[in-house]
Amino acid sequence: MTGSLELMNIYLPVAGMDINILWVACAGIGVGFVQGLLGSGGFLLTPILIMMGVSPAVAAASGINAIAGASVSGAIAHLRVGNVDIGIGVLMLIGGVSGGALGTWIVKLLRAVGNLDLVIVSCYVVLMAVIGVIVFVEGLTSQVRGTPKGGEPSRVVRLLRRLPLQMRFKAAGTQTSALAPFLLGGFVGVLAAIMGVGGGFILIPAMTYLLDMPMQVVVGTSLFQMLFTSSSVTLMQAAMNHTVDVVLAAILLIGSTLGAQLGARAAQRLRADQLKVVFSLLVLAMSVKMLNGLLAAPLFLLQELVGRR
Amino acid sequence: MLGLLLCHFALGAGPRDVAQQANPLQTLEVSDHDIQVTPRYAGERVKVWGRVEPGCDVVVELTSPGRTVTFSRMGKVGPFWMSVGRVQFGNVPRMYKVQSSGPLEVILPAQEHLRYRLGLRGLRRSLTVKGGTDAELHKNELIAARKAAGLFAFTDGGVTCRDGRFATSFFWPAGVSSGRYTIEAFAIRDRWVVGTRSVSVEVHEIGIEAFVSTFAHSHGVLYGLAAVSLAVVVGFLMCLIFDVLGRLGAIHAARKRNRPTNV
Repeated sequence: MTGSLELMNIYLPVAGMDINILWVACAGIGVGFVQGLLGSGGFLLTPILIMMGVSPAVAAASGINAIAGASVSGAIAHLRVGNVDIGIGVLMLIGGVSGGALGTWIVKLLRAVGNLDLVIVSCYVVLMAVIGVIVFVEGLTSQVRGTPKGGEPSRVVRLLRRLPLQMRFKAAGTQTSALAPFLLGGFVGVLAAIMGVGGGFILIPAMTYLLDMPMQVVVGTSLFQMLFTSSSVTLMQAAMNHTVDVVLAAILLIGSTLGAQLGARAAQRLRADQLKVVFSLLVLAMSVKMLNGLLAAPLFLLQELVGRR
Repeated sequence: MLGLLLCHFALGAGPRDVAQQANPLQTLEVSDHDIQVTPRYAGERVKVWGRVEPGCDVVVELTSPGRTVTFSRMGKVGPFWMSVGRVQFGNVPRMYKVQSSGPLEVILPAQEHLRYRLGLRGLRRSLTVKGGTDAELHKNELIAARKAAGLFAFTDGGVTCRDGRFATSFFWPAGVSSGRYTIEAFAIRDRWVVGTRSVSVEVHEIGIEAFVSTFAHSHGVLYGLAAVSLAVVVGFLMCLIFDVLGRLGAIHAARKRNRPTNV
């Protein structure tokens, strides 16, 4: 049995390690399934790879490569139906590419110092703890997220309307400063480069509450910006840091697309609220495990810096 | 034999120059001169054997040209372990393994280890250390890390020696990089190296993985473009496949629904 499992080992050329193709595919399917079922979960890709022994730098860069592929179909579908606000999308995209460039440069810098792994893992510990708690509460109280309908726009929205460069966005039916989508895109771009996340978990609430956009345009526009930001971050990571493992990304991509289809189908039969609680506990457990890894003494006090053996 | 030894020490020449017919280490063979690292490569054990004058001990060393390797030194800052500095080592072989027919420390005196840069003692002598706090401590840490990765090993008694034949083997672990490696055998008698012989073993990465890894490191931008294009195409294809499958499923379901009325 173990013999046949070992046959499934492949050598990842850029990660420079042996990995069982089945485990990677399962990770992709699992993450895709959660994404299809609950609508978020892509952020789990990188931490799962890290737990499987892939170096955090390669895990983040290959994860963002897979996300580029995974957002293609959604972006096209939403573009076709006109669910993308091109104005906001392009502004976020400019921000995303600039943020991605900044993030890639930070990665290069941290890598040279030798603390990149610490930063990536710490970011995930925080992110997963926050998301875990939010989803847990949401699952327990069965809160339905949606646009605050009617009434006065919130204080933040009014603040954003006082910033310079005010613009009207037709598809989104909103008015705000051009700086808002740019900065939002920039922040997500930095995260995409450092952590390898698409950023939907930040973009979607931010666009709903801060930019006051309707839900279907939010989803379409965020997918549109995700496709281009993740593509450009992949390109920059490959050019500057040589950390994109295309074999790893391809397996993850195929697995996660498959998983997303299964998840979407399962969503029609399962109760999402109860699953949210289970999911949040899983995310919290992963956060604790990674925190534990940060606090534990490393096996060796010397860690090899960038470069191959 | 004694004359020959005296002669070569007088000339200051290494035993490598000993005339072939007089070399107590008569032959040295390996089971594979050319290791091919394919995508399925999970390490390979290479057998090493040869003939030696009876009564000799044999030490077999596997090494490769030394390189400079930089490490970050981990230290505890608050509750976290993080990089607190750098250590640069010079002359680090990619692999260094030594096996001997008896305890190396007993069959060969320490100064000979240093002369031939052989064994743990010889390795520690050749390594150079720049930066860090304690050079000898850092050498220990480097050697421990490499041992754990299966790249360094020191095995007393790893060579079997009987009736003028000796045999041993070395394991090339997965993830070892391509290049030239040298296997050198030393015949030892009365605590002197009396003959040596060496062969080289090449490691080649072959197949698509080797191409990908070289491409990724030498043409980053092109590789990035290829990676993005591949992801986009695969993502699009997967979407297409599920679209078709979904339609087929819908047709199938419609037929099923219609069947009772048709019959």
